[in-house]
Amino acid sequence: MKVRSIIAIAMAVVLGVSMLTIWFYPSIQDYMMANPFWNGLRDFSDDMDVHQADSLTQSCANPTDTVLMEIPYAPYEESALVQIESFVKEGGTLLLADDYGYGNTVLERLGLAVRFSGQPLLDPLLCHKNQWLPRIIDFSDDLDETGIEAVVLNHGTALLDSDEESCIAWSSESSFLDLDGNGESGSDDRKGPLPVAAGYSIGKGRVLALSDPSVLINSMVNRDDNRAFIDQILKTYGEGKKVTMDMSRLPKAPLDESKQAMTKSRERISHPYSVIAMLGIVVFAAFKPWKRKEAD
Amino acid sequence: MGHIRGGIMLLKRIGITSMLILMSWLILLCDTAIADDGDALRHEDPDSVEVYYDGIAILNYYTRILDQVLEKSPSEVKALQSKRPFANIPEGLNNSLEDFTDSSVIISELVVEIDSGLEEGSRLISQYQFEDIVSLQEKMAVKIDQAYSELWHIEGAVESAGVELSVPPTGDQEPLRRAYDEVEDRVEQLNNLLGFFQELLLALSVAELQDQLQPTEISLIAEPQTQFVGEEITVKGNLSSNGTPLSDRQIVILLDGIPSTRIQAKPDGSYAGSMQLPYKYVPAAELQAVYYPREGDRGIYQGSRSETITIDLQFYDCNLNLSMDGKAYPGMDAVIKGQFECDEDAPQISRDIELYLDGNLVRQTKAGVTFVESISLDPEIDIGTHRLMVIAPANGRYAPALSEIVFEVVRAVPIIDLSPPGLAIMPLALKLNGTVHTDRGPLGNTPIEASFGGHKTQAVTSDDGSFSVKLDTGLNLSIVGSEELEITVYPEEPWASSASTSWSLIAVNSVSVGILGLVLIAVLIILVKRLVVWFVLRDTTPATAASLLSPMQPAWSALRKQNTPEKKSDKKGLGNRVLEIYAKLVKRTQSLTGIVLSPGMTFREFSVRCGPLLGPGQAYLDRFTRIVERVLYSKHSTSFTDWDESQELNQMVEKSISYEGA
Repeated sequence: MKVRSIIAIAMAVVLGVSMLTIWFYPSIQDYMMANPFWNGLRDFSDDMDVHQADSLTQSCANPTDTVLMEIPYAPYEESALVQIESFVKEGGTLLLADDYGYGNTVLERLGLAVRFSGQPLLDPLLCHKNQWLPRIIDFSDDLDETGIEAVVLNHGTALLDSDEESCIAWSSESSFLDLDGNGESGSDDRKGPLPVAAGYSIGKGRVLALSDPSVLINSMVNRDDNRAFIDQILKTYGEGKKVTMDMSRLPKAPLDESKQAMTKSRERISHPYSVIAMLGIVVFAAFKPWKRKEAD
Repeated sequence: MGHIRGGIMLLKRIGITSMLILMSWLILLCDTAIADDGDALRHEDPDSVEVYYDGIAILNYYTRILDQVLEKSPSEVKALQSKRPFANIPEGLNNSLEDFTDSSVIISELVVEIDSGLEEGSRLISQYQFEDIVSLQEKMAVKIDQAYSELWHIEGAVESAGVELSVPPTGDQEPLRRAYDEVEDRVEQLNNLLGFFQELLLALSVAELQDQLQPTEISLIAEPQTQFVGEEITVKGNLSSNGTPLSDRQIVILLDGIPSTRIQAKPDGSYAGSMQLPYKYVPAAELQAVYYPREGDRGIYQGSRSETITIDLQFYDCNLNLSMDGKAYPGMDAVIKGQFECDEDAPQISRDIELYLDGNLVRQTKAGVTFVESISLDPEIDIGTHRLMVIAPANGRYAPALSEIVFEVVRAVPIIDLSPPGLAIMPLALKLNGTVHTDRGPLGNTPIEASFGGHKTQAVTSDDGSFSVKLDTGLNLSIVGSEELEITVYPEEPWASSASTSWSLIAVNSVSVGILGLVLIAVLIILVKRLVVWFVLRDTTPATAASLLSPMQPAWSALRKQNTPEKKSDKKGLGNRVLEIYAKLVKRTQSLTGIVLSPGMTFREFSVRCGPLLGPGQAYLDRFTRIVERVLYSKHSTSFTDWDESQELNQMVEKSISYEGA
């Protein structure tokens, strides 16, 4: 057999194995709904029956029936901001969970004064294991009544310029925003209590700002009362609505891109156009030998 | 053996090449993924994160608690205590910190009690209430002892914390040491505070003063001892000192410890008067007469208190029961029903009532024993739980009544009654007739939208909630499958929510099915023909003229037996008849030209070789040969035209042969 043939067969084998690997190998990327490891969202998405949307257009289709989850680690284009603004004003619920991303662009667009600080919120006393995992134990009366006692953040931040009535959770007095980045509470650092979650009404819709998306990851969602907290705020701000996560703002590894591409390919193959095309190929294959013989 | 070895070698080569490419690809894939995961700023795995205790923060927590004790704020101390379970502290410090917070809570309450007790003592001294002072002193001494005991626990807990957190014994510059010094400073302040309390308590000692003053006695009688609130009762008694009546002294009547009435004693030391019972809707009130020296009596007489008399207070206590009919909707009236249930002997009167919705006063009105009130709900009111409180303020003998009802504000969910056909044939339009209603009745003049397979249409319901929609199904490339028919209702009323109901229909695309059917039939026919040809000719291929024409060749006879590949469209075996006359012509040509159709020679080669000897017949033979080839090898059906042409060409060649032979 010729070398060219060997390489062709090998490439075909590699293609097949690669496709199987990509399909079955789990994602390890942050916040991926297919990621079953500590930093993924599989537990949360399975339990809450979260729908995955690859674009904002897909996410914002039914505002009144949707809670749109945004973890904004990629910048927003003007068209995306317009879509989000329209989504909220038409009755959608936006859960904006951000720490060091582009959430402020969205808040600014929505005309809200509140901002994500973007600096780490540390609490050396009320925390899980160390100060980077601060415990939140002060909640609004509504949340207090539900029995929620503590929520643990993981390298989160705080909200700034939030009015008191809109806040629903605060860090403790021993917490601080590490503005100088030295990991210690200094005179330049902003001292707690600081808000970490707040809700607003805009038009017919509602916006919930949460200063740490990490409360949703597999290793955090079952810690302390994190799950009850998420359940409660989703119930309060979007009861009966379908939770849809916009994946377009999340960083993706090549594996995730490939998975996404394969999923799309599968959808395309199952499309009627593809079925017709394949049928055409069958017909062509059936006719071709006859034509060749006739030509002979 | 050689083939097997070669096959194994080939597989090895393919395997090694595949593995190399695959390894490179996977390394690239994983390496990129892990590199992207390297941003530790977003979060860490909490199960593998480093445990770190901040000693300064922990000691500051101690300090804050003691600060609140010194501020005499037990509620703040309790609030700080409640945070202890969530603090990140070393395992060895748990019990010690628990002792510390528990003791801090107790001592904070004791400090407040001692402080107020000492204030009370000062007041009693000013009134020469020596008996009360002595009693108070005893109580305060016990409390101060308790406080010292708790302080001892606190000091022990602080010491344990110093050891557990490895606080250096000296060093003002050490932040941890400074934090520990702060705690110790607060402990010292607390110690000083308790010492101060002890000194104040000693200062309340009145034994010497008590010996110099004349004791007094005061009695109290109250009638009746059961009375309605707001009514008057008579109080009377006597004031004396060592049996001698004390005249013209002011007697204070305390009602539940609060001065209520002042009565001047008569010359015989007796006093009498009346007092109105307050509108205080409690079961009982306590009366006590008090004398304390004023002006000239100071330095002569001690103060005194009568025994306490309990007056049973009567009033009409009514329960207010509330209920709400049905559900509450935004923009609609919520109907509240209320009823006062009072004692049997209570006269029925009209009561003022106040209605509060979520804490905001919405109405003040009068109500009888039963009442019905309608509250207009804001169209923008939040969906969910709301509270309606009705208060009937106190009115004379009627105690205040209060009741609250929790109700849900909901939006009515439209129900779509529709029986769609189970089968949708595309592109024919779907005709849908249905009704929309809620539990409040039909939903008229409401926009609806129907969608099916990407096609949408809008309509508005009539007054009775019915609608009729003709929905185009259009054409697409689907064949047969399940499609969702969705009807969405968009009520404009604030009390109704939008709703959507969907049905799964079997959609049959008649056009696609027709086209597909035709294609499949065509493919089937072609495949069958190909199979038949393949089976028939596999033994005659490559077909040579010799194999066909030589009587000794079994192919020719076989061909004749099997009638050649017959096509359905062949009219009366025309193909065979063409071949028969061609075979005869070939034999004649062989005999004439002497050129033998040898094995391996094709008809065309035979025709080419014989051509020059046939003269003008060459073209006819050539043409005839092509027709024969077509009959034998193609799917072309032999037509009458072919047959006619074959006969004509045969005759033309025959003529040429005859001419040439001549």
